[in-house]
Amino acid sequence: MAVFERAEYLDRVARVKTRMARDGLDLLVVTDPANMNYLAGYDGWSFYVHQCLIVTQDHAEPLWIGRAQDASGARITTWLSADAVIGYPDRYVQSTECHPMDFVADLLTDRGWDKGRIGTEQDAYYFNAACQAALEAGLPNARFADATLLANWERAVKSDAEVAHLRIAGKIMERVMDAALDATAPGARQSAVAAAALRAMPRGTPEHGGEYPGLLPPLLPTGESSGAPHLTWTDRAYQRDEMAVFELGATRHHYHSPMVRSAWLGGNPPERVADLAKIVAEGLESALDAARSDVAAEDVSDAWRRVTARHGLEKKSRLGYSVGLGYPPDWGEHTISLRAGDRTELRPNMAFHAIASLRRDEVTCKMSEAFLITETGAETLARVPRELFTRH
Amino acid sequence: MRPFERNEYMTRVAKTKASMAEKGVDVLIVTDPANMNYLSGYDGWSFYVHQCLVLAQDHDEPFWIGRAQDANGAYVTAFLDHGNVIGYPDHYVQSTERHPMDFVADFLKKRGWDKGVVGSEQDNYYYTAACQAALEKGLPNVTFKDTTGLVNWVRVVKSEREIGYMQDAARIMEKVMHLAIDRIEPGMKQSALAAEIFRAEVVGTEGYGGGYPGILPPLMPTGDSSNAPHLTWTDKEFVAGEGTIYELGTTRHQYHCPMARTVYLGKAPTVVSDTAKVVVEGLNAALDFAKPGVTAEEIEEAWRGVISKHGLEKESRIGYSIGVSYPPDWGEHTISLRPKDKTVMQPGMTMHCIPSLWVKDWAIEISEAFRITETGSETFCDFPRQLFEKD
Repeated sequence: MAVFERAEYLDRVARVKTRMARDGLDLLVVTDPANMNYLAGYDGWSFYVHQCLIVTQDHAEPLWIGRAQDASGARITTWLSADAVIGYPDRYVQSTECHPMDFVADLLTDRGWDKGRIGTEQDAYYFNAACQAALEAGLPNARFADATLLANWERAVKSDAEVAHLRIAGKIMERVMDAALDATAPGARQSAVAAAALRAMPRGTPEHGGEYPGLLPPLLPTGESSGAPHLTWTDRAYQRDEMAVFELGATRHHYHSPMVRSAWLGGNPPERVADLAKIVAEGLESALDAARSDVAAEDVSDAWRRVTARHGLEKKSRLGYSVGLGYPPDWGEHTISLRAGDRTELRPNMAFHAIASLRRDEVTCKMSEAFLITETGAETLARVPRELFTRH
Repeated sequence: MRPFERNEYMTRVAKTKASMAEKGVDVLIVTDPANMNYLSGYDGWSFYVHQCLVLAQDHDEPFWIGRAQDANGAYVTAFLDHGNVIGYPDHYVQSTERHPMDFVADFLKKRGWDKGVVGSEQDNYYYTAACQAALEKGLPNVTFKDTTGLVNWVRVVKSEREIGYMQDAARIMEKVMHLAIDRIEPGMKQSALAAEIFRAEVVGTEGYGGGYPGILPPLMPTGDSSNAPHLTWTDKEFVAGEGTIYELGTTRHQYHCPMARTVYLGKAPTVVSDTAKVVVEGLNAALDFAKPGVTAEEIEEAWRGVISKHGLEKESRIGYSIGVSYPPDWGEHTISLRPKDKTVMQPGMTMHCIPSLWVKDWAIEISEAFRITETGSETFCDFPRQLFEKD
């Protein structure tokens, strides 16, 4: 029932173990839900309780440890053998007396894995301060090292099977953006537009349904909130003569193809706004032209910056980031950034989301593309016209 | 623009400071997005980067500290004076050289809050081990105290307006659950039904739309997977002769009304419909019993009394406190309706009672969100409390 072949998972685990050996780690506690999915196939909305995978040099398969009631979900979605799936009793859940990581520490001790150097993902969303404290208290003979992005870096170059899911996500994205644009008009409630986009995400294409993206709610900055990128929708009605921005995600098996587009409402945009949109599109296009195997991540953002600088404009935050598997609250991989100073060399089958965004005269115009590095250049995952839309 | 008046937020802040004083906490770092919303009104999907409120006994309003690009969102949604909204530069974001909590530690130093007792929510979502490590390193003269749950417990008794928003969410839930039961049929793809449910949660009612629930994807374990409660949908079709459990949530201004119902495609076997009757009888007993003055564990006992009469047993927690929340959960992480929880019910407390019983390898789940009134309890939704069978 896992999404990929067993051999693919084994290859992923082997690569993570190689990286562990290089970093001098005997054992790795994996808590990031995307990393748990990558290595085991596990897929459930259970990260609101503590759970993890254990990867060690002297055990072939990872162990899945989670709440007992989620063990059946692990048996259904992972490739792991039955005895590699271990549930902890419910009394560990949200208790002030014992912590799920006490259970993990006891299990590691029972197996003789309580010595040596243990890596934990210390800045991953669901691995909180109490998790680390419980492991340190329960494993006094272990030394701990921060392994926050160890598994994430192994995810940067996708397999052909992963690329196939990314391409399907791109096809779903085309429909999601259409649904959002169709629902938008002056007078339409923002929440109605959000509802239309959310409906399209699981609905997918006639062949393939989608899941929920890591940045789950459609982000729809507009009007007074247009400079506030992470506000979600309200019941406010869209107005004439304002810019609406749609930052949306589509997924297939949790592989992401995000996209941003902007629309001017109620008529044709003023010339200054139309010009701004042309600069955004031109900058994005030159970034895509620059993206290919063997160039550095910063070469892509440099291409964008050259265009915007010519027009005396600038985007302060990074142009983009690596994408692939993701769970809420984010869809970024937290590894490669398309920004000055990131010298990571691009390789075929890496995937990125580049967000071109410029603000002038209190108006923000934003467009993005999710793209794949190929042998010869870059391929966008979704085909949606790269222009400022208008909605009447 | 904001769901509550300034004085309601300031009352919450005052209650929190009283709880801090009682626990000997001078400065509180609040990272739980629901607690941040409760104390400031801040509402954005920005918890994927580190952010917090800082409450100190010697400063009236909380400080909001977050990524600079989200300060605009704080101006729009939080009641705070703009001088109390502090953005950190983008080079702190996902950097291997510096951590946003380094910035927070420096800020505390500048304010002279680098001594005494600082509380942090150490077992909370998004407050990572690295957050705590950065604060400890940056504030060597501070004594840290785990204050997980401190603000959550301030939240347990809701104001009238909070209850009003939960009632708004309930009107959405009635529509969502009706739709979910109407639309499901053999041959329909699970993902297609998830799409319609998502839409209905956010479209809301004629008067207002909904927000996003803390358990965001509709959970609807079906057939074989129904003993795996937290799997989400696939492209598989619903099948005649199988049951599906809906565990859905709706929100208004992030205040939740969850509901669970079980639907069977076809005529359910007698053992299934009989078990459903026991669940309803037990749920009714718990709801009838819930009133001011009784304890959380006594409500669970009322349920257990009914099912043990039928010779049945189940795991012990049948409910939990609810209110304002963000992903990945909609529970408040305070009161549990389970043995040993001796919390005394008070008017304005709000709970989700979600008992279930197993029939072979799948469960029947029927729930109600309810509030404690002056004299008893009242459910938020008006919705048939039964097993649904679709021929």
